[in-house]
Amino acid sequence: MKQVQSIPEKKKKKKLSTGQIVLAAVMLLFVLVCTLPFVNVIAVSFSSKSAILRGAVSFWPVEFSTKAYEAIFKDSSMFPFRRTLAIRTRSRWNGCPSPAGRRARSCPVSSRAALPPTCA
Amino acid sequence: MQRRIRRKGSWQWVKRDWRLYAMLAIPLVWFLIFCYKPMYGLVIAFQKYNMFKGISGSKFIGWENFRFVFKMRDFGISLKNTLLLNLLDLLFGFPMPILLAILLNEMKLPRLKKFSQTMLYLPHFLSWVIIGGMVLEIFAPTSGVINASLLKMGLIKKNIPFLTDGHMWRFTYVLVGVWQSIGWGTIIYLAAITGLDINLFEAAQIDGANKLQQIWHVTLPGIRSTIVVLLIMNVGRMMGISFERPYIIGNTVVKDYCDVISTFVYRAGITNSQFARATAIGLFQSVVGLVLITIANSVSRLFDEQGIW
Repeated sequence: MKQVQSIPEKKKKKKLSTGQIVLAAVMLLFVLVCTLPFVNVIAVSFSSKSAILRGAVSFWPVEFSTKAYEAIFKDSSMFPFRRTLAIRTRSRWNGCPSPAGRRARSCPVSSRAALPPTCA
Repeated sequence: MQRRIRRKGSWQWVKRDWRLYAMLAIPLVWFLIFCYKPMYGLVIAFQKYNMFKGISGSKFIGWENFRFVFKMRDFGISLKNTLLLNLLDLLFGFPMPILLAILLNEMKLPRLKKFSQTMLYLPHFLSWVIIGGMVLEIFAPTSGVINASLLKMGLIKKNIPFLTDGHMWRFTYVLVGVWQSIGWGTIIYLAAITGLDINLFEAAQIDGANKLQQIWHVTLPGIRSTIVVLLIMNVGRMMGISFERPYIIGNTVVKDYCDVISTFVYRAGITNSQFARATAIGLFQSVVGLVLITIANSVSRLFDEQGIW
């Protein structure tokens, strides 16, 4: 390959034409349009509530706070897998008449039919 | 050899290529089970359907369900909105990926090209629920980034009601749709462009064609059949509209603008358990879609293009 290509041609390739520069600029514009909304949402997620309501957040967090994330991680319904796991392990003992029996794990009710319909 | 096989009939081919036919059987079975068998359920569109009596036990009432649905005020509105939103999508959303694909194809910097492609595909991978959340956040009055920055720059005096004014809502809807699908839509066109014969471009260059002329006379005619096929498919989908996009971006303020057939079916049919009427609307939608796609295909064949069948 190298032998076939002449030297001036190689030099020509390295230099960018104005068309290519304009094209790159237009493409970057498209890329920005496609990515800036994500940047904005991330910035908003790390900003304080008052800053968001004022409309002060654009692409960088204003009055940095992680309260939103703390709230999410405290809310257990955010993690359906955890809840499902809890239901799965608990459901065998759900139909038991007494909590004592549940704790002792000697509950006679273990078939699916005996469970309340919400567990099934 | 050839003649002997032909005389023995097509069964010989099946015998020889039975592995291919076995592979073909899998999608065929899939279609039978998941596309054709459920069509039996369409019967309930013509019945006074009772869930507990089932399809065989319910009373046949002919076109009564259709008559009832067509008389509903909301049905007319949702039909109009469906067609209008799809038409706007077709007008703005359809040419954009073509344009972008051509731009991407003309890029000489491979690194930048790959980077922009990856970034442009990004929105496609989000579900509409996530996009809906982002839209509400970004287009919100005062706190939304667009309104806030336009106000700050002094370009507007008061908030633009992106989500609360009917016409603006349509604009937002189309804009978000284009934003979501523009990158992904380029893939098929880029593939078509890559398949073009490079000699054609060289010949055009030697003949003194500049870049725009090359695009106009070589690239676009080269991907014409791809464009036509996708156009036909889009026209066939004019009556159908996705449920999530209008449902999530829409709100009660612009109810008369964002209510489309799918949301109407959900609201009036499924949440009120009017399954027979919902089915009637669905059947109507499919029939009109079939008619549209047939017309589009015939038109494209009239113009000497390859149709999709």
